[in-house]
Amino acid sequence: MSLLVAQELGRRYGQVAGLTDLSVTIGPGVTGLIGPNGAGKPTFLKLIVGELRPSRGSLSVLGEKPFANRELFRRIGFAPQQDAFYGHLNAVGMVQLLLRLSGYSTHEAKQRAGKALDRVRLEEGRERPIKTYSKGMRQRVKLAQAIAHDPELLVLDEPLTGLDPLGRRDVLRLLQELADDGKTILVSSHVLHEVESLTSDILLIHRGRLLAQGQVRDIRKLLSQYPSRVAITARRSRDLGQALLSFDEVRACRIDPVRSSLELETVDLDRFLARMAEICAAESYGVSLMKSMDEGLEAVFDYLVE
Amino acid sequence: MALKRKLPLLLLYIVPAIATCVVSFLVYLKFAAEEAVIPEAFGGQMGFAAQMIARQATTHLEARMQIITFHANMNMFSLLCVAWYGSGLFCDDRRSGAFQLYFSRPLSRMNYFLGKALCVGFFGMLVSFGPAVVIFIVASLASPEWAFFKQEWDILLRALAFSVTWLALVCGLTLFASSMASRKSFALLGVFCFMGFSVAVAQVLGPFVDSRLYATSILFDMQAIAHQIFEREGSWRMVQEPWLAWTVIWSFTGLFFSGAALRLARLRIVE
Amino acid sequence: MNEPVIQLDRLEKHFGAVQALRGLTLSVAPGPVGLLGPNGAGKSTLLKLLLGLIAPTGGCASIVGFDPATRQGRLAIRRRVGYMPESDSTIPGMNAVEMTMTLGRISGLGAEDAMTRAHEVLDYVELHEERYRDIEGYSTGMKQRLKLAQALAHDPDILLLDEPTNGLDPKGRRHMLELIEDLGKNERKNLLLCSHLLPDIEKTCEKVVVLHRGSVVASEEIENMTRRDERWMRVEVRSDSERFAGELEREGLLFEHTEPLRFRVRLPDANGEDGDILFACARASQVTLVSFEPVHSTLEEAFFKALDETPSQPTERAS
Repeated sequence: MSLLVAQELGRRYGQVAGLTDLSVTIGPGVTGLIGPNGAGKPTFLKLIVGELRPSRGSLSVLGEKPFANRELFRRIGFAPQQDAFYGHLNAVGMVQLLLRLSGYSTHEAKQRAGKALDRVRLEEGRERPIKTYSKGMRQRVKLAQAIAHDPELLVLDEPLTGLDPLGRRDVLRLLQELADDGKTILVSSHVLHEVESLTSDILLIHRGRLLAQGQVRDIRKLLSQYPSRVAITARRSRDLGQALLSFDEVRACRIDPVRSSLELETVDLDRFLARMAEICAAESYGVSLMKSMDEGLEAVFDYLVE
Repeated sequence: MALKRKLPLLLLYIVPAIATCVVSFLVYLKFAAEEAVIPEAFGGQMGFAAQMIARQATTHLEARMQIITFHANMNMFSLLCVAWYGSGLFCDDRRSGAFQLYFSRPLSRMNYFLGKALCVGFFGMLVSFGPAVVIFIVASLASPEWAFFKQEWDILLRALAFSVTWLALVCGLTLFASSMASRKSFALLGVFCFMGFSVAVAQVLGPFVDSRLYATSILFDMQAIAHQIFEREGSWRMVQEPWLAWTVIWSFTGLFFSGAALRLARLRIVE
Repeated sequence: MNEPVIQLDRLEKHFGAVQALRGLTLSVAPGPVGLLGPNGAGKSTLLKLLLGLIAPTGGCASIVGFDPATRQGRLAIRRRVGYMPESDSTIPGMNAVEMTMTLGRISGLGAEDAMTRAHEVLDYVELHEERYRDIEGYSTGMKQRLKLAQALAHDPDILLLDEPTNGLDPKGRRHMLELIEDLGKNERKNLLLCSHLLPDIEKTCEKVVVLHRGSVVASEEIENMTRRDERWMRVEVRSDSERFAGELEREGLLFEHTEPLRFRVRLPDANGEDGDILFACARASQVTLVSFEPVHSTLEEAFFKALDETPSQPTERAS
């Protein structure tokens, strides 16, 4: 079931094209929204949470149009990048306030607020006003208010900023839990290795257009103009290198006998891996390391955003 | 580049600048007219000399009056210039994070504070005291053998005293407002609110409680101080006792400067 | 020059009842060092001390050769230290050249020197024609680079960089990390990098200091912290991991099935580092072997260990 469907979605700001011709479907689980700075990602997020109205095309979130749709807001949890708090309230008060605006009774709001703050592991300082909080604490409050009303769709903009490694670990775990519970989570982030640790489903927006969508590995395959680079460490590096060069798929191979390492380029990674297994099963080259250098998100991102 | 931002300030300066030029010209004319008078028309050297002295005294007095009146009217302009220029000094630096850059260097907070205060003071003096100097110089050059300079040099010192007093208050107020406000517009608002407030309070308390409470108004105080410094006998003023005016003015000045300095001292870098 | 740049001996600092730093003993060698620690560990207090902004309440310290207990010492420290703050920091109303120059002069450079150095450092951080434009219009990346430039202008003895990749997009992050890596590893400048992003530190630093509750809990070379255990291999297969697992079992190998397509396999002692047996298993089970490499803990794991916490890797289930 697709929870978010955009079709030829576009949004202009006067002359500036914020988003152009975006067609995308997002389903349950965690999807990473990435892209260089510049118009695009923030516009998309604002369209999803109903702050902006599309100029062209259509957007359907949880089956409805999001713009100024109060009912829909209750089913979406949004944690924006900036802090937007009433500094004099404390954590419980702030989350409670937002819950009450969503229609919960005072009592239930308080309970839910407490539970949400437990989930984001904001242990101490709940009674103090938010203006005394550290960055990490504010971030947790932001997340708490996004999950407190148990929304089906979570939209998180840079959810891990300001958190120390412990906090990052906690939040990553929490997001994983929520995804396992069947929620749809859209995480927008610049920190690629964190997106990678959460999900392999990504959406790349650049200059207002959709550049890529899907599994990182599949996208990589589509970038066939960039041969895969593989690093190998082997005792008999020279021999292995020569054997590999005889493969059709191997375009280039650099051998460093001093470090017993090889770096090669291949146009068909899977075929190469199969052949590699063949020759290494037949003969012992003493391979102690074999890995791809550019299959990960960072490499894919670089290739796409030249 | 930064000219666009400085434009309002330049515009503010134009008015006093033009006024100074005009007044200086008038003063010059007066002196020039005197020199054109020929002795023969006044029947004999002795009579003439006496008359000349009398006329010179009048001219000098008129020139003095020009300086004094100019001063009285420039009050508001110097306030405007200083407030406009200075209200952003602290809050803009805080908002932009410049404090972190400054104070992670061997710059003491006192030096920074003095630097800003002097900057603001300098601009204030240009508007407040500058015209007096210009008119004085013109008058001195125009008068025969520097007579004006030799006889009326005290007017310059009096003008200086007045300017310093007024500017100390205005700079202190502006810096304090800037240190308390989060942005320039608020600081500016703060400055004018304070002035307005002080006048309003005086207008309310003065007539109904005690006439001495007119001293709550900064403007009335400056009026009284002007009266004393420039020895303007008979000029109308609301605050009768000069010592009251001086006390109020200097107390506020002290308060403002200490307040601003304190805010600066308690500023946190790194966090 | 192997003199430690920073030497702290049983350093204490408390603010009223709050003990921010307790018995902190630390010796920071030249070169790039990472400073890690959970929030509230005392990092900002330590930074303030290293910046010469506060004096210790106990113990001794020598920062770039000066003692922060005295006022002269602190002023001298501020002359020799370069700080790249975490939050936005610019001087209003100036362009990049003016700002760098002004700050250089405040740090003690002469007018001519300050101008020359300003252009030099702006070249280094690759701010070209933009340097003459008003800072208001700068992108986040440009502002961060300018922040780095102003920290470098007076050629400090040590650079303190606080979350230098804050707010940067992936390209900007990479650029900034490359600059920092160059500064630390090639130019051999002393730098202390404070960041919560452990991969950033792994990329740019050689040594790491971990702070926790006001004391140092670890201070060592990153290489040592993330040492490899040559016997264990981290293995990834394309699919059909159960078949692969079966084959590993048949071969009598010890392994752990950690994630759907990943394993940790212990190689037989006799083979040394030889992973060839993995190829044999892959072939036999007709599974594509995607990658394998000796297991080495990440800095993240080492960090959590130093703090006595469990890392974020999913709990490994032994087969």
